[in-house]
Amino acid sequence: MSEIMVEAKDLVKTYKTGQVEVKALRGVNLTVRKGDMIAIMGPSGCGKTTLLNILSGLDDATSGTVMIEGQDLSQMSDNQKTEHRAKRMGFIFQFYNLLPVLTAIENVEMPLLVSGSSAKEAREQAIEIMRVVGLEEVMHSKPGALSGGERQRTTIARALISKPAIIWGDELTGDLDDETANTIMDLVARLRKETQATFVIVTHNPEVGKRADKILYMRSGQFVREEKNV
Amino acid sequence: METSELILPALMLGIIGFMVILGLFNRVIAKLGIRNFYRHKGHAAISIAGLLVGTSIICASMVVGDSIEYFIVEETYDELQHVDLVVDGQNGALFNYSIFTVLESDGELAALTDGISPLLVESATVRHTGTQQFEPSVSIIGFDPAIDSAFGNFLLEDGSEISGGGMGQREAMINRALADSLGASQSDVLTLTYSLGSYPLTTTVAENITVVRILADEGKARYSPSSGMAMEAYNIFMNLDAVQAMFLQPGMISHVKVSNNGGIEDGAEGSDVTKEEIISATKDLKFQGSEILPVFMPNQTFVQLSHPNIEAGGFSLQVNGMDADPSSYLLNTESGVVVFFEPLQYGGFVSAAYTFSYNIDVSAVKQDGIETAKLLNDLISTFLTIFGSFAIIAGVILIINIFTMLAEERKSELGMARAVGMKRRHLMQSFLFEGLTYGVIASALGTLLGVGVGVMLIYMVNNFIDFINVQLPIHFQMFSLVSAFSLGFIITFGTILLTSWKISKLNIIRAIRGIEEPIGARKNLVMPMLGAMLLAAAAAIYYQYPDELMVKLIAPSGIIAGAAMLLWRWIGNRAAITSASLGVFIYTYYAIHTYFGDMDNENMDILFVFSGVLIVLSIVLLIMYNSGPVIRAITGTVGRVKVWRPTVMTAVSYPLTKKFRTGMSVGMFALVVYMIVMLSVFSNMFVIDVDEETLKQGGGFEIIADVQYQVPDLANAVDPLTNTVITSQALASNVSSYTNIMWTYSPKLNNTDATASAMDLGEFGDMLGGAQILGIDGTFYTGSSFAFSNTMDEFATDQEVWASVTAPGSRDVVISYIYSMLLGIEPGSRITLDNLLGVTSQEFRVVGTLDNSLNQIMGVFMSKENLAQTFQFPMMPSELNRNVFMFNLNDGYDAEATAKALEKDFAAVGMNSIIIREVAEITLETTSSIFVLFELYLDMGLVVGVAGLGIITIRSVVERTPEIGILRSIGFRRGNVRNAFLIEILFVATMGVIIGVVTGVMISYEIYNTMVSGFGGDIEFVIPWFKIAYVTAIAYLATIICTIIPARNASRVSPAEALHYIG
Repeated sequence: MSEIMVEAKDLVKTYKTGQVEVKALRGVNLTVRKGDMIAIMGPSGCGKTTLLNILSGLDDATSGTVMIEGQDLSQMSDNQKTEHRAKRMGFIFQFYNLLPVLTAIENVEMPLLVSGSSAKEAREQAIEIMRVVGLEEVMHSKPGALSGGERQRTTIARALISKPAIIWGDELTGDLDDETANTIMDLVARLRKETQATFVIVTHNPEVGKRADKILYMRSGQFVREEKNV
Repeated sequence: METSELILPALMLGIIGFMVILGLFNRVIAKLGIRNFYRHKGHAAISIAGLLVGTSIICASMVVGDSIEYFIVEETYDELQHVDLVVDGQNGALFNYSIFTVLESDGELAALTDGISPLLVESATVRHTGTQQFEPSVSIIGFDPAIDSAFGNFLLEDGSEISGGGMGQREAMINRALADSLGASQSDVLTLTYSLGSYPLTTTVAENITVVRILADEGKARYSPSSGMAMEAYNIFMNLDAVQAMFLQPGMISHVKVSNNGGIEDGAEGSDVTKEEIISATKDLKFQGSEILPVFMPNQTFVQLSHPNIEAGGFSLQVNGMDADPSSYLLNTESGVVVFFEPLQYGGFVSAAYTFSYNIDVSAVKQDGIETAKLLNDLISTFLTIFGSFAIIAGVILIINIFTMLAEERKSELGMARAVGMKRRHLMQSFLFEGLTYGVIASALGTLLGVGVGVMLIYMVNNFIDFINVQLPIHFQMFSLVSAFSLGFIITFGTILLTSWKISKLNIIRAIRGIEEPIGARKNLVMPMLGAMLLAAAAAIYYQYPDELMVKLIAPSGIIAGAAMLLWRWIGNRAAITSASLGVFIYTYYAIHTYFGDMDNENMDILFVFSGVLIVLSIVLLIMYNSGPVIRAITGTVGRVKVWRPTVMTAVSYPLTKKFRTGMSVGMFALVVYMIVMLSVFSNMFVIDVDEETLKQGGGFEIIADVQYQVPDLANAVDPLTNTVITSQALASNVSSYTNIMWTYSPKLNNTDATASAMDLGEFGDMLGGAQILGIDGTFYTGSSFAFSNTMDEFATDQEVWASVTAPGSRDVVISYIYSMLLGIEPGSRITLDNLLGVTSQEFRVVGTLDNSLNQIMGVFMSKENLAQTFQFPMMPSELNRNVFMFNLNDGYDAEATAKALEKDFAAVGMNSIIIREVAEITLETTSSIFVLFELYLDMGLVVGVAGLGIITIRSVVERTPEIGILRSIGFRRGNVRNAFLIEILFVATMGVIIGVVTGVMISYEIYNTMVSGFGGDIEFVIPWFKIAYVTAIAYLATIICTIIPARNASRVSPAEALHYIG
C-alpha cells in the first residue's frame, strides 16, 4: 500500500450570500494515495471545484481537516501553504489561466523562480519541459498568440516544472475539442507515468474520467458513488 | 455676461437633452447603461473620483480668480464710494473753477449724475509740532463741504458721520493712518511745508493747521484723486478756499469728482455716457489769460506762458511795455513757449494776453477699477488654467484609462451582448448612458470639490503666505460654477464618447472567451484612412495659414502623425509609433526653439500648453515602444536577487505589454511633473537671494532718497523756511559716502537709429515716450557696482564706461534697460531728448545699457554738465528740477533708523527715502507669493497624478483579479503580489518622473533662451534640483500611500475566488 498523499475528513464549506447560506460541501471524506489519479465528476454546482480549492489550500474549509503529505493545511500559515503549493503542487485549469503579459516560457518558469531557483536554472528546466510538451517552437510567444491546445500544454508544463508531488486539474480539457482533449490526456498519462505524480482532476468529461484510477461522483456537496477503472 | 460665455452651458444642456431623448427611444439600452453604473457601487465611486478631478481643477481656478476680482472690486467700491469719474488737467495741471461751474450747470449732465464736486489737491510735507513726527508727502485735499456732501459723509471712528462743514481757514481733518504716523490727536497743530512759484523763483512756506477731526480710514477719507487707490493713504481735508489761498491758487482747482446716478455699485455703469457728456461740455471752453513774465537771465531768448494750448488768433505780446513785432518771435501754441530771435533785455519783462483752452482728462475711475479687477481675474485664471491644463489633460487621460479598464473588465459580457444581437451602436450608446451618469455626477461633485479646493487655496494664501499683504475674501459667482460644471461635463463626456467608440469595435469571440487581441493584426484600413485624413487636413491648414504661429507649431506634427498612421498597416505598430513620436518630438522642440521668441502672439498660452503636451506625450510613446530591451536589462539586474526576480518580472511585464495604457498612465504623471518642474525652474529664476537683489537694485548703495527742491550740496543744504544750513547728525556719522544725482524729465526720447527694432507697445508706448534724466558725477560709480547688460566694445571695464559719461564735454550717456528694450536702443545708438520746452537736444551716444534689475533709479544717465546745459531753464517747475541721493552706511548702522533720521533732518527740503533692502524684500515676497500660489494650485495637479495612479491600481486589482489567483496558485505569497503591484506602479511613476523632469528642464531651458534671457540682466538658468527632488520624493511617498491599500487588497484576494472571478 502506497503512502497517503491527501486525506480529507468531514469537509464542510458554507458560502454566505447576503442572508442566504449555501452549503457547497456537506462532510466530504477522501483519501488519495501517492501516484493515484482520481477523477471527481458530477453536475455543475455539486461542489467539485470547491473541494479542489480546499484540498489544494487555495481556499479554507468551514470545518473538517485536510492533510497533505501528512501536514494539516489548517495548521499552516498562508505563506506556508503558498510555499507548499509552489514546491509540491501543480495546477491545470480549464481556461488555462496563463499570465497574458508573460511569454509561454516565462509563465512556465515562474513557479521555479518563486521557489528560489536561479534564473538560469529556471530557464533551462523550462526549456526542457517545453520540449517535453512539444512547445519548443512557440515558447517565446505570449498566450494570446497560442491555440487552445498549446495554451493547455503550457499550463501542464507550468504545473509540472517544479516536479510536484500532486497536480490538481480543474476541467483541464473543458475548453478543448475532443481531438485536442485526447492529445492532452495522452500527454497527462505519459507525464504521470514519467513523474509518478498524483493527479486529482475535476471533470465533466467521462472520457477524461476513464483515464483515472478511480472516479468519485459528487452530488449536492457529497460523494455519492465511487467507480474504479481497471 | 457675453454670448460666448453661454456656449459651454448650452452645449452641456444640448448633450444632456439629446441623451434623454435618445434614452426615451432606446429604453432598454438606457436602462442597461444606467444599471451598469451602479452595479458595483464601490467601483463606480472610484471611477467618479477619477473623473471629477478635471472639473475640480477648472472650478478651483475660477473660484480663485473670482475671489481676486471680488477683492479688487470691493476695494474699488470701498475707496471710491460714490466717485465714478474724475476730471483733471493733463500732467497734473490746475484748471479754472469755472469748468466745474460749466459742468454743474450742464442740463444733460445733471440728468446723468447725482453729484459733482470740485477739489484742489496739493502736496506738502507735514510735521507734528508736538511729537515732531513728520510725513514727507501728504495730500492736502481742498473741498467744498456743501457740494461734496453729494458724495456722502466722512466717517468718524465712533461710527458717526460728518460732512466736514464749519471748518475754519486753518483747520483740517486728517485720516487715521496719518494721525497714527504723526502721533496726532484732535486739536493738535501740524505744520505744512510746501513750495510756491517756479524755478528759480521758488519760495518755501510753512503754515500751521489745527486738527479738528480724525477720520476713520473708510470711504471718503481714504481717497485722494491725485494718488488714486492706495493701500495706505495720508490725507488732510480742508476747505477748498483755504487750500486755494494757502497755495496761492485762487479760483483754481485740480479735480472734479463726478457721481453717476445710482448707488456705489451700479453707478459705474453709466460712466461712458457721462464721460462723453463731460468731454462735450468742456471741449470748446476758452479762457482769457494775461501775464507779466520777468526776464531773469542774461541773453535769455524765451519765456514760457502759464498755459499751453494758446490760440494763435488774438495773441498779443509786449516787451518792456512795447508791442513786439510778430516777426521777432515764434509762439509754440501747444506748449506756450515764446522764442525770441534776439536776446531779451536782462531784468526787463514780457507781457502777454491770449486765449487758451485747458487739456482736460476724464477718467472713469470706478469702471477702470472694475475692469482692472476683471483683467486681473482673467490673468490669474489664465495662468492657473495654463498650469492647470496639464493636470486637466492628465485628468482626461485618467478618464480614458478608467473607461478602457471598465471595458476590459466587462469584455466577455460585452461580447455576449453583441452575440445576442446588440449592435455596435447599441454598445456605444449603453456606454454613453453610463458615461452620461458618470459625467453628471462627477461634474457636480467635481464642482463642489473645486469650490472646496479654491477655498482651501485662498485660506492657505491668507494664512500661510504673505500674499502681497492682503487678505483675499472667498467669493465665487454662480455662473463660474455652471461654467466649471459644463466644461468638466463636456470634457468627461467627450472623452467617454471617443473611448466608447473604440470599445464598441470589439471582436465578439475574443471578447467572450477573454482572448487577447492578436498581436500584429493589421488588416483593417481604418487607421490608414484616418492617417490620410489627418495628413491631408494638417497639410491643407499649413498651406492655407503658413504664417500663423499656432499652425506652424501644430500642423507639421499632424502631418508627421498622419503619415505614420497612413503607413502603420505596412510598417507595423512599433515603427509607426516610434517614427511618429520621434518626428513630433523633434519638430515641436525645433518649433519652441524657433517660434517662442515671438512674444506678441496672443495664443501664447495655448501654444505653451500644446507644445508641452506634444513634447511630453511624444517622448512617453517613444520610450514606451522602445524601452523593452533596456527595461529587461534593468529587470535582469534587479532580478539577480532571486527573491525579487519573479516579483519584478511580473511587475514590469504588464506595463511593457500594455504599452498604450501604461503610456497613458506614464503620460498622465509626466505631464504633471513636467509643469511642476517648469514652474520650479522659473520661480527659481525669478525668486533669488535678497542680498543679491539688494546689490542689484542699489548698485551697492543702501538708501535712496529724493527731495522736493533743488539741493546741489546736501552737506550744506539750506532750510528754505529759515534760510539756515541744515545740520544732520545722521549724515555726518551714519553715512560713509553718498552721491548727489540731478533729476529732471524729458517728455520725449528719440532713437535716431532708423534700423532699431523697437517693441510695439501701442498706447502704452505713448505713455512711455519720455524719460527721466539723471545727472551724475564720479561719486555715483566710484566704489559702486551698477551692473550693465551691454556696453560698447571699446570699453574694457564698467568704470571706463562711466568715466566716458562724466568726462568734461562728453556727449555719452548710459540708459536703463527698459529704454533699450522698449525703443530698441543698443550701445552705439544715438538718441536725442526733448527738454520740457519742447526743444530737441543734440545727439547723445549710448555707451551702455544697464541691468534690468536696477529699477530703483531708471533713466538716461549723463554728466551733470550735460543735464544743466540741456534741460534746465528759467521758470522750470520745481517738482521737475530736483535731486536724488544714494547713501552708503558705515558698518554697524541700521538702514531703517538712518533713513528715518535723514528724513527727519532733511524734512525741510522734503526728503523721502527708500531702503533698498526693503524694496528687494518686498519684490521677492511679492514674486514668491505669486509663484507659491501657482505652486499650491499645481500641487493639485500632483494630487491628480498620484490619485490617478491610486485609482488605476485599484482598477487594476479588479481587472487582474484572476491573474492574482494564478499567481497565488503557483506560489506567489501575499507579499509578492503586493510588491508586484507596488513595483509596477512605481515603475510607471518613475517613468513619469524621469520623462517629466527631463522634458521640463529641456523646455524650460529653451523658453529661457528664447524668451527670458532676452530680458537682460543676469537672470540665470539654474535647475532647482533640491526642489525637484523634494517634490519628486513627496510624489513617490504619496504614490506609495495611495497604492499600498489597493496593492494590499490585491494580496488578500482569495486565490480560489480570484481564479473564478467575473467582474
